[in-house]
Amino acid sequence: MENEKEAEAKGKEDRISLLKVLGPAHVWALGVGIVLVGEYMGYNFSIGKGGALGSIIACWFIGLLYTCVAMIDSEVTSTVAAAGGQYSQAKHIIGPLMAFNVGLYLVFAYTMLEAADALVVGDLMVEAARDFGVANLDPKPFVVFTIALLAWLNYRGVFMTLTVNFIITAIAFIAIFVLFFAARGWAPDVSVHQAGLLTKLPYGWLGVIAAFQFAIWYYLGIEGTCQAAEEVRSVARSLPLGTMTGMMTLLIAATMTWYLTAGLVPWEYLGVSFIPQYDAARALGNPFVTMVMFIGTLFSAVASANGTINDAARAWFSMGRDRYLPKWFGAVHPRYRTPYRSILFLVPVAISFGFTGLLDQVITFSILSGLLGYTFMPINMFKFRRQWPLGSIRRGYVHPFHPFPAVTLFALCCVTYFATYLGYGAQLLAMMTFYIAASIWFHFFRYKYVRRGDQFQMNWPRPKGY
Amino acid sequence: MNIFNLLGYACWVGSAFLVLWLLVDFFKTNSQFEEDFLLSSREGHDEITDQEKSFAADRENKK
Repeated sequence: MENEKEAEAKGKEDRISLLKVLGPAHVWALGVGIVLVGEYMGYNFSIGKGGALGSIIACWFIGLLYTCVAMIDSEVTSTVAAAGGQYSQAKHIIGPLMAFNVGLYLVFAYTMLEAADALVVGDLMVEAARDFGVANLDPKPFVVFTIALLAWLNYRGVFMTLTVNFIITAIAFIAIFVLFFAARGWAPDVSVHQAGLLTKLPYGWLGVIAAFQFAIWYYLGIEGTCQAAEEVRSVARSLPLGTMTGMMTLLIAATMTWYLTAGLVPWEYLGVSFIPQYDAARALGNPFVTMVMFIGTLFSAVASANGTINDAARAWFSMGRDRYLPKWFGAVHPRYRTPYRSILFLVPVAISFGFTGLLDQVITFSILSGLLGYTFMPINMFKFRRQWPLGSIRRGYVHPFHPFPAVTLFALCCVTYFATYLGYGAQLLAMMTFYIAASIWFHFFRYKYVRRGDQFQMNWPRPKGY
Repeated sequence: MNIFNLLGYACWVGSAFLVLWLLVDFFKTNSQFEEDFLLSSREGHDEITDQEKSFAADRENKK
């Protein structure tokens, strides 16, 4: 209420901006909230590709990839107090064509993920209805209601949106511990069968590489914390703190999830399940834990959809504000101080993807868009350190061992492209064609509307050599 | 008719209400405020820094 009054008072001034009300806990809620659904579903397809052992190898290698992402993002974003995250980084450090592409990667990665999350909510309701003897429940009303409710929440203000995300994400995280204690995870072979963990590699080392594509689910979206840069009270402190603690949370959650589900359910079944945590709870045979995991799965999907609406809208808004898209999208609501036109515009887009019902295709498009964004980061980091060396600009966080994290990130991205090509080669080529076509459109038809000087408003020193 | 089907209908009604609310507020906001004002945000514009600058200027003036 106080925030709304403050927002309204500010709205009467000449210039309007997004509201700076967020702290590190909100940043954590945004990053972990988007990702945690991957600990409840999706990650398990890596078990189908590489077996239980192959999955944990892929989980930790992809964990290394995302740790590099979090470190690089934390350093660059601690200097960029602008919505748009990696889009704004690319605009300042590399150039307009890269920025346009990165902006598109972000919008598609998050909007597709939002649609996939809403589909999960619908599928979960169908599953729950089936458990109660109701067959053929239509999931569509649940899909639409999830998106409409979260869009409404996002429209009404970022503080309440991310406070809700913090609560439901924390509940979903605690639910994994409930499963751990109920299964007595510390006692070997009581419920968690050790033999199920150290299986042979069913498809050899190529299967482990193939598992990389789905191991991305353990962490996909942690880089979304950067989108809050314009709304945190202290960008130099909150963003690195929220992102790095979020990454630690996910490494713990991912390892526990693998340990519990692979120990409770045979890998051959787990590798094809759509609701693996829920299935693991059912295998335990404890109705209370089954209910907790149902709530955990539901809350994680809702938190993820909530965070993705927030992030996709900020990326779209930033591109509109810089005229990379029609400037109309760069409007801020005078009362709620949110990018309300961008939020509303992306609602029918998400619903239409949700209505396709093609969960695996939607998820693959999201993962590939995310992966393209990660590949840009090492290039970005090298240019950032060269053009603004340490000491030339105030950084809230300096990541250690440069250039090793950037080189590691690039190498792991290449391996993951190969893994994606093994499973979804046609989609990879189709998506590359789409982004190339979009780049040509931007270069020939859109860039003429961009006012080159207007897009750089931050008080940065000139880059070295200019 | 079971509880899940009823829940489905409730979701349709709830969605319609929320989307209607969003559309009404959207058109109201667009008509109530000048377009230049709605589009006036700038990246890196930091109210907190601005406030600190204005407080520092006030302190200087008092001296």
